[in-house]
Parts: sequence; C-alpha cells; structure tokens
Amino acid sequence: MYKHLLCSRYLTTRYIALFSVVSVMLGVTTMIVVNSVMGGFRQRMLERLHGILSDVIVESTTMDGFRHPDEIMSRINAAVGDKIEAMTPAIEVFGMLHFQNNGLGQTFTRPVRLVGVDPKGRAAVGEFGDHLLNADNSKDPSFELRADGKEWREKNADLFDPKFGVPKAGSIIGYQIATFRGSNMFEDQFLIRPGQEVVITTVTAGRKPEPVSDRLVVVDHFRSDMSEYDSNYVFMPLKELQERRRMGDAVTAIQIKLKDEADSPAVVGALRAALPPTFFHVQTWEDKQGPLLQAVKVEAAILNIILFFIIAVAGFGILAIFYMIVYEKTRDIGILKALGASNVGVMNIFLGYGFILGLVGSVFGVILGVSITLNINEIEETIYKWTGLELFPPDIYYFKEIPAQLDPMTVVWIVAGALFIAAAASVLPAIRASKLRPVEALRYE
Amino acid sequence: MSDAETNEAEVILETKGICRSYFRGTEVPVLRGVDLEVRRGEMVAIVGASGCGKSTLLHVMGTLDVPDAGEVWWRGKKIDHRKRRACDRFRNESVGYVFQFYHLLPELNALENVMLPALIRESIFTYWTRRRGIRKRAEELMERVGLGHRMDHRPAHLSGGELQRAAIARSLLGDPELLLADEPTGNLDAETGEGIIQLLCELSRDENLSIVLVTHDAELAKRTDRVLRLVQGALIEEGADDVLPVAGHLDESPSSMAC
Ligand SMILES: Nc1ncnc2c1ncn2[C@@H]1O[C@H](COP(=O)(O)OP(=O)(O)OP(=O)(O)O)[C@@H](O)[C@H]1O
Ligand SMILES: [Mg+2]
Repeated sequence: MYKHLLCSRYLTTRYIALFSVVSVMLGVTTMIVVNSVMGGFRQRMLERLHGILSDVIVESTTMDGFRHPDEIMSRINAAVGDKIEAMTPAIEVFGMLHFQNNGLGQTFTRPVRLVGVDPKGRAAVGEFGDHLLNADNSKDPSFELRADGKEWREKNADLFDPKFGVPKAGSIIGYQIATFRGSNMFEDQFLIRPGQEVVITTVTAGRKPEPVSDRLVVVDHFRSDMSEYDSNYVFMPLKELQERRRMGDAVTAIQIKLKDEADSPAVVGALRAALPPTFFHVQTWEDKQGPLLQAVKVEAAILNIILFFIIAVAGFGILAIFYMIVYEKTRDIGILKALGASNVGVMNIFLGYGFILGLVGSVFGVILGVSITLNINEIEETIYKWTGLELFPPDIYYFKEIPAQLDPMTVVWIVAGALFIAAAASVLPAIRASKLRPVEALRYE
Repeated sequence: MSDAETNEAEVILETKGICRSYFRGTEVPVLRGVDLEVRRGEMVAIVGASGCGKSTLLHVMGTLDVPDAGEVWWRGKKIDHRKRRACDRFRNESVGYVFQFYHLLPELNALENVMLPALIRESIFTYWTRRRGIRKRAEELMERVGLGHRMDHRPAHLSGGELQRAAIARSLLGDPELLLADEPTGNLDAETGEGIIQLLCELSRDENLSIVLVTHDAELAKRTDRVLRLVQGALIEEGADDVLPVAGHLDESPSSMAC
C-alpha cells in the first residue's frame, strides 16, 4: 500500500519530475502526428495507384504485345472467371508528344507514355473516370470532343487550317504535361486545352520498328494527383493506336478488376499457370509498384526510428531526474526499509513512479497528438494566415489537404514504446534505491 | 518490576558477542563482543559516551545492521541477517523503532507517518478492508502521545518534540514486542519528556512491552529496570540507582581510542 501512496505523493510534490512528463508528451505527440501524416500520404497514394492500375495486370513481355486479346481473355475467364468483375485490354508504349502554345509562341516536345485504351472498359476496371477533369467524361469516358473543346475550336478557328479538318482521334493528356505553375502563381496555367491539337510519335510494332506520327485532338486532361502518371500519361483510343502501330488486334496488357481484391495473389498464381511465362507477365498492382511502396515503407520506418529517439531522450531525462530523486530520498528509503519495506517494494515505488510519469505523458501526448492530427488542416491554415508560411504547398505534394490518417494501432504502439522507455529509464535508479543499505541511508541527516 | 520478576520472564532478545567495526582508513572496532539479554516486559537503558556505538548496537539488534561477528537471537531462534525477507518481517511486526533523528517521511502527514508500518505490511487490498481499524489505532496513539491536534500536519510543520512523539507513535503502531528507542526524550522539554517516560513505563508494565532505550537522560535511566553502560565496545551493568556521569565524566572516556 505504501508504494501507491508514495508514488502518488511523489507525483504531486516533485514538480521537477513533471518536466519529464512534458518531454514524453512531446515525443508521443510528434510521433502520432508524423505517423498519421505519413500514413495518410501512404494510404492516399496506395488508393490512387490502385485506382490507376486495377487489381491484377497481365502484361506482354514485349512492346509488340500479344495477338488475339479476346482469346487470351477467354482463357483468363476459363481460369479464374468466377472471381473477375471486369477486364480490359490496353497498349502501353513509349512515345513523343509535340504541341504548340500559340499564346507563348513556343513549341513543346516531351517523352510520354502512350496508352491506348477503351475508355469505358478502362473506367470499369479502375478509377479512370474519376481522374478526368471534364465532368461529362467522368460519368461516361470517351475520346469525343466535348462542349468545352468544340467551343475553343470555334473561338480560335483562325488557328486551324480548314484543309486538315478535325483529327479523327481524340487524346487525354496528363494534367502535369498540359499545365505549369510559375512562382508566385496561385493557379496552374494551361499550356494546352481541350480542342487544341497535338502530334504524337511512336514506333510501329514488328520486325523493324519505324517511327510513325499522327495528329490528335485534345479532349480532356487526366489528373490523378500522382505526379508519375500525370506527367507521363497520354491516353488515346486503343483501336487508333493499334492502327498507327500496325499491330492488328494485338495489345500489350490486360487489366483485371476482381470482385474481391483479396483474391489477387490466388488469381495471379492461377494466371501464371494458365499463361506461358515467355509471353506474359502477371502481377498484382502492388507487385508492379513494389519498389515505390517499399521505398515509402522504408522511409516511414527510418523516420520512426529517428522519432523514437525523441522519446528516448525523454527517457534519459527521466533517468537523470530519477537518480536525483533517489539520491534526495536516500534517507526516506532507509526509513521505509527500517520499518520493514522489502527491497523489491522500494524498487517498485520508483518503477511505478516512472511508469506513471510515462503514462501521464503518454495520455497527454495522445490527446495533443490526436487533436492536432484531426485538425491538422485548420492548424496549417491558421499558421499560414498568421505567418504567411505555407507549410504544405499543394504544388509539391499534390494533395489539396494534408491527408492525415489516424491509425489506432500505431497510437497503441507509440504509447507502449513510451511506457516501455519510461519504465526502462527508471530501472537503474530503482535498482540503486533497492540496493541501499538501511543503516547507511539513515545516516543521511 | 522487581529483579525477581524480571529474571523469571522469558528472554525475547539476546545478543551474543556482537562485534562491529568500521573502516576509516584502518579498521576501527565499535562493538567488541556485546552480550545482552532482554526479557519480556523489561525496560533496559543503554548509556555511554557519544560515538561509543549505542546506535550501532541498536541497529544490529533491530537487523538494520549486520554484525561482523556474534549472533542475535529472537525468542530462542537465531536471526539470520542474510534472510532479508525474514528480517523485513521482523522489523515490521516484532520491533518498534524510534530513531535518534525521528526520521519521518516529508511527503506524508503526521497521521500517515504513524500509519506507515501498517501501510508497509498491508497490500492495497488488505489495507482497504482494514483501513478503519488502522486509522483508528493510529489516531489513538497520536492522542496518547499528545499529538491529537497535529494529525494532518506535514513533518516540516512540526517541532522537534512533536516529530519525536510522532516517531514514538509510529513505533507502537504495529503492537511490537520490543521497542528500540534511540534517545526518545533527547529533544523534549522536561515536561513532555516526563510524559513520554510515563508512557514508556506504562507500556512496559501494562502491555508487557520490552524496551531497550539509549539515553543521556539521567531521569529516564533511573526509571528503567536496568542500566547498561557501553564502554570500549562492551556492556557493563550499572546499579539502577547509580548517578549517571556528568558531562565531564563523559569526556574522560577517551573517544580517541574509539571505545
Ligand atoms: N557507516 C559508518 N562508517 C564509518 N563509521 C561509522 C559508521 N557508522 C558509525 N560509525 C562510527 O561508529 C561510531 C559509533 O557510532 P554510533 O552512531 O553508534 O554512536 P552513538 O553511540 O550512537 O553516538 P551518539 O550518542 O552521538 O548518538 C562512531 O564513532 C561513528 O563515527
Ligand atoms: Mg546514536
């Protein structure tokens, strides 16, 4: 009983120890906020990647692709048809995009990834539609010129040579290819808008790849907020790309959306068995983005290790303060022992004291950390208003808001870590206290 | 208590040839073979020059200190100073200790300090069921030593004499069989000291408590059953009615030879 009493008395009378509570609290707060933000980023990123890539991807091992995708798809259906919700063929090749911005009087040529898709099929396997800027396309993706594009063409009719007419094929261009933002600008400036024309260049399939070019009309922009895709992807109709590349009905990939994403590994296994590996490469979207996901994970782990040192520092604070307290309390420890307290009992006073300090620090840390995380965007805004400092410039991070996501398990781990460190830091002083010989302790006056 | 009566009572604590030395550069023997028998209900005074080892002897008797040689027997059983748990229990349940420097815990108020031996003995659960009894007993003792009006004062707000009395109340809480008191009246005025002396005599007479006390107080020593003088590390029996040495006499016992 005396242990509990003394613990609580030390807690309420030794204010110096409360500083270690503050350091534990700050450590826990930082870890919660940083982990939530990192976790939120990761989660957002995964969702985006997943939406772009669909669940399972069957890819050709060559840029020339494989013929008769219908037959391949029926083979896929035969193997795992019951698990599939939708699938769609696609072609992905490297290409060159060239366009002119009349306002700036400048031409742009960029390497791109040219993707031939069936827009409706593509939308069925992922979030293609959601990433299109034009609301009509979001509902019903197509490569037709929409109202905004037609209007632009009418207004700027003088720019086009009527001899050539409107290009047959439309294209959807990655948002970052089509825009730029200078310093001090608050909005992205379009270099190329729906209605304008671009020239794409790629190579034919077959024995001797030859360059081919064609004019396309821009019908929309693709914006997933994943820089890698927005700055590289140019979509065009699958049929047109097959024609330009003279590849018949061949495609380079089939994207598959499953009824239950959890089946992915099983489906991949079944398809690897069903399709000859010399021609087909079957992966889940996670496999395909493996290195990136791995990098994010490693980054989070390293950051956590570094942050954990903050709490470790708090631990050393507790250690130092506790040594002081044990020294100061030498006489009292002697009294307790003289009155029959056991060594273990005396040790437990200080272990419990450390644990409680850790607990109190953690509780306040969790409260503070969670409230910061839940209000992080408001806090960022307030800081911006007061100081003009933009902590989270959207043009760098691609999210309009800080995507903080609170993971209860992470919080539990952080608290467990903090408690462990607080308890561990009090072990040495506690052992010292338990080893004190009562007579010597009592000589302190 | 007459000598005859005393001799019949059971010996509860016995020391046999206790030796204890300290190292201060060279070995300095403090106790060199102390033999002492304490009987039930007996009140023994130990007197001696300052620094001659009275407190050390009391510590050894109460298992706070470990003798270099010699044995301490408690009711016919030898106390093994290495058995820490047994010693902890012994200190908690069988002996009451009044220290020379009171030694109260500053974080607890007077009443809690008095309750401390019980707090140490009981776990949080057993304490909960017995808290009323413990509290009542502690309050009784506080009243008895005349501290009824100071129960919730912190030690820092008590005078030396009040601290001393709280320490005595604390030593009695566990209803010990043996009270070891190191100058229990050392810091009290004659009147309060007299109160304490009466209390101790009462306890010894009515409740059969054995008391070993160290004192410089001739008045107190006179009232005990036996007076033993610690000289050169050993105990010599003195007649109870011998007059205690005056200060000058004290200095004669050469402290340089670390008696
Ligand atoms: N831990 C220790 N280390 C070294 N010397 C010690 C230690 N404890 C006690 N001594 C020495 O042992 C001797 C006896 O000490 P003790 O406290 O028993 O004396 P005392 O008779 O109680 O004196 P007083 O009447 O002043 O209280 C003293 O000379 C003291 O300096
Ligand atoms: Mg002494």
